[in-house]
Amino acid sequence: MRESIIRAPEGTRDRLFDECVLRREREAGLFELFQNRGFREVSTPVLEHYELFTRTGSPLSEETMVKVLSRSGRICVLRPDNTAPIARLAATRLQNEPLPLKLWYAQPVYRARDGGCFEVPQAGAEVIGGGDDAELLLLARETAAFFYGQTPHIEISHAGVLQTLLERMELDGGQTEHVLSLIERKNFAALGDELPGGAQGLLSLVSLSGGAETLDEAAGCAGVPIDKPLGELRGLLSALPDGAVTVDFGLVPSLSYYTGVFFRGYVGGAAGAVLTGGRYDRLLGLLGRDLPAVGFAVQWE
Amino acid sequence: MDTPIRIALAKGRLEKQCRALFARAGYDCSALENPGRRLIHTLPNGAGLAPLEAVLAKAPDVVTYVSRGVCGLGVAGKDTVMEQGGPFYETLDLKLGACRFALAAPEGTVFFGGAGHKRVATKFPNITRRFLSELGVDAEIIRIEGSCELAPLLGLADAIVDIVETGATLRENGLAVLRELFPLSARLIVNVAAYKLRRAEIDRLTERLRESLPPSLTGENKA
Repeated sequence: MRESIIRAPEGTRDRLFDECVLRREREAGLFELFQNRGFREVSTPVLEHYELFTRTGSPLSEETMVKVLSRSGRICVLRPDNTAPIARLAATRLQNEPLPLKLWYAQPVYRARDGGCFEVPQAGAEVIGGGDDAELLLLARETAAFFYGQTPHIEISHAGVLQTLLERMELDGGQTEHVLSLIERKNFAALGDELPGGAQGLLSLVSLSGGAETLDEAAGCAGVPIDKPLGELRGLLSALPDGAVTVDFGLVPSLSYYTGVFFRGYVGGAAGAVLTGGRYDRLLGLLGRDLPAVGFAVQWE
Repeated sequence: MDTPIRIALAKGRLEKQCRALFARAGYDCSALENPGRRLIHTLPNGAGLAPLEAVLAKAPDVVTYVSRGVCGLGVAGKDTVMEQGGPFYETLDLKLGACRFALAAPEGTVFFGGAGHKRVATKFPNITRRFLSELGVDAEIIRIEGSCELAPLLGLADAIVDIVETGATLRENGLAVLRELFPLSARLIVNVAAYKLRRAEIDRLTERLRESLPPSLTGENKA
């Protein structure tokens, strides 16, 4: 028998019996978690236009998106991310709904990797046209705990901090990308060797992590005014229970996407962050309806 | 008390120096010297650090284990770390096994320029692709598992990209370095989630390893 007939495409798989039961139970738990907090569920198509992601500052690289051609010859992708489609919905069909829009979803995203198309189950929430960062972050924490059976370790930072420091350094696009990738990999040795003089502030800043005291240290070593982002972080910290999150200025946001506070959550045994989220105040404007927004996604590996 | 952090150590070229480094950092590495049939070894520390659980693995597997989170830490050469890439932190240059990547070809080869199609044999296709594109060379990359030097001799490739330590093997086979690419040495890599969850412990270990680097080498971190 031909392999292409009897095998599912690379990266995809069938789910049997117990797995289906588990998925239904998980969905039921999520439904209760979100509906009880005044969030309403939405579901978006599995196919979206490629440009919805490439033109809106999506942090996803083009090679991670699974592309297909529509009959009219447009490039479409299997939904690589849930936020942009929901923002599209908010900018169009949900125009007459009262603000803030509090939406949640539980639907997979698809990623191209190792020659295959991988389905990654995801659940998350978006608050559009308002929203309280602390409330959303606590909901994110609860969602990750629900999925993984352990409270995640959450780290927060603010996109404005690195943005401000990098602007001051006047790097070109390629250099910025390189510096960010070194910070992302915590390759501080290479960073120290390669940074132009006068960038010591950046080097000390990205090694900082801890509690609220970290914010004062950051103000001291940044070398440029970053009062506004630090103020927002301080506000968020004071609204959260003690020890709920750690500040880490070494977190690298997608600067084309996040505009304010952003966070990541980690659990033991997972390869990377299982929770990502933050404030993205530009995205809705790019879709024709200028509204602030904050959201998160928890993914199940 | 938390379970010991698991570390994957690359077998082969780096193994002995790596063991010596961990011994200087206070770890009892005797289990690694005579591993027998056991695959997972406990390394107690007599100098105040928590014990580690060590596995010996091929370098590419070290990167896989750390990327996937089954080992919190790993030691592997920069060559493998770069070739595989992945979601991990690279926190310390251990300065062991110093060597370099180079593009080499038979003496007298005109590699750059000309309109002809070039073929490059290498164990490191990803790094080679990146490097050749930086040089503006459009070449076909042929993946080889061992003894790249053989490829030009057999007529399989015009040039090779490989690790060069002393250059003796190249010379013996009539090959010369056309371009040095970058220096290589062993790196400590750290799983992202493991670092987030056990940062203090991993930072202490990293600091101890930094202090334990051979003094004669510590100044030598640039090409």
